[in-house]
Amino acid sequence: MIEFRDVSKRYQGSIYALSDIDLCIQKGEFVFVVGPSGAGKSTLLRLVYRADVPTTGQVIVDGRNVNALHPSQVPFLRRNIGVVFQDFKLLPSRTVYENVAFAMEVTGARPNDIRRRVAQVLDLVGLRQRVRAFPQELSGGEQQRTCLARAMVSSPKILLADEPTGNLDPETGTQLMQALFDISLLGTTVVVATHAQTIVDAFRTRVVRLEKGCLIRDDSHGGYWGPRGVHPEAGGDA
Amino acid sequence: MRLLRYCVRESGVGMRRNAFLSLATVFTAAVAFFVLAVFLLGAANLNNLIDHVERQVQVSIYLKDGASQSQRESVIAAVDAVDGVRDVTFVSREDALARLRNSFGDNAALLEGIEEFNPLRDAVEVQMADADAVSAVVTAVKGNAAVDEVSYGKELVARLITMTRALRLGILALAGLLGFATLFLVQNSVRLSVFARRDEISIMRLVGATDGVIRLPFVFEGMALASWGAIVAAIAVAIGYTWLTRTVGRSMAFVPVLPAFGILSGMLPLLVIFGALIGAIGAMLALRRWLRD
Repeated sequence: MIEFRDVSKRYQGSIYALSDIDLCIQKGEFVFVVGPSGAGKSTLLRLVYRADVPTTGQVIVDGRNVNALHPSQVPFLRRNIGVVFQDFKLLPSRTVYENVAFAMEVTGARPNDIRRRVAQVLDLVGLRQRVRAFPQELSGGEQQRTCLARAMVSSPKILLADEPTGNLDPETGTQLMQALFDISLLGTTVVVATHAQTIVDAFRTRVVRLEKGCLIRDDSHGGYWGPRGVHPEAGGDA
Repeated sequence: MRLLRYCVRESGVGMRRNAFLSLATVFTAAVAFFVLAVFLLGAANLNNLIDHVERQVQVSIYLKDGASQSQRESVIAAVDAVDGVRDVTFVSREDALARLRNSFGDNAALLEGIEEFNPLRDAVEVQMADADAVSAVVTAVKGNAAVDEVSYGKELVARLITMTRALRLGILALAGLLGFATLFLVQNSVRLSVFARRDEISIMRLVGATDGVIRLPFVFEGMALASWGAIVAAIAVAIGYTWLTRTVGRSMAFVPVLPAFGILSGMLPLLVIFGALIGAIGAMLALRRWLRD
């Protein structure tokens, strides 16, 4: 689903944010990308939804070379990719419902489809009762779930989350991560960039470690590649 | 169609949510369009004044004594064929004397001595529409055997031509400059509105909205706000100019002022259309930065 072929990214006048990355992520996989701040995690995600283009190498998403896409094709790539951010990026002047519906409205979806699908995803993230609330009336966890609902509403093939638990308490963070994990079980490829090691340890899944822009480890906890759920030793509540 | 409806609705929502900013944009646009409209009205009146002065330019072609009627007609035909000539009249020496007597009024007695030996000549008087064409008139009759002398205040006409050309060029340049200034002002106001909603734009891009869908609500908004600005300016200009023409008409009737209805009915709708256009261009320019990949 996502393939990095010898990808390097260098921002103007600075050192390499990513260096010679080779990585292949299959459909329906749940992958953590971990590493300290500045390791290149966000850059890696940004290359997938073409917020950036690599300096060298190729990024292939769903069979398409992302850096070769004509700018007019980029919106259509992004309709298949949901993105969740640490700072939520919700529109403060819109309600929960409007924030989520917005993602479908701008793509010209039918009003009936929007109503049906928004209700579905708000049910999925447990926000059905908060549809009329504005972001500032929500807790951090609720805001992040709204953000997740927005990312999911267009039924994307890929879900990217950049430090999604950064502004959440550990318990809410683990709940959110579980929700992301459940989404991957439905066939969506989920890539989560995080430096919350405790949360990563709680899940038995593939972990890609970056440091100073280099991929230094790619393992799958006990030899498994693909979603395997919560690690037995991490306790059942995660 | 759904997307178009969405864009129209969003432009309305955008203006409501940023009501203060929208009002500020309308006000700024109104001031800019008002200045532009006042300048254009001034320019149109100045142009009218130049036309008026040019129409005062007259060329007198004096004919030789004994010029035949056919020679006379050939002079008139030659002058008539020149572009920029408004009127050609033949004035016989008798008519010229009668006119002179008339202009002397009560002092006509002074002319008694010369009436018997009328020293005046037959003449063809040419009223110009365009002072520039005077030299063409002179060329047209030059060398005609019946023409004795051509008189037209050579230096005055030359100065007038230079002055009117400079004035018209100046008006054109200033109108262009003011047009750009208006575009700049309106664009800056729309840019503020775009800046206030930059997060919305980045999210729209993130969820896969095409540039057209992102742009259109802002373009509609820019058009609506700038048009409202132009409408406010048009109303203010209409009231002000109507009052001005009435006042000038009453106290300075000799000043040629263009009638209010004629010029306003032509100019103000154009101002509103220009407003909408500038609003659209302003919005597109303001969005460029946020739509860059």
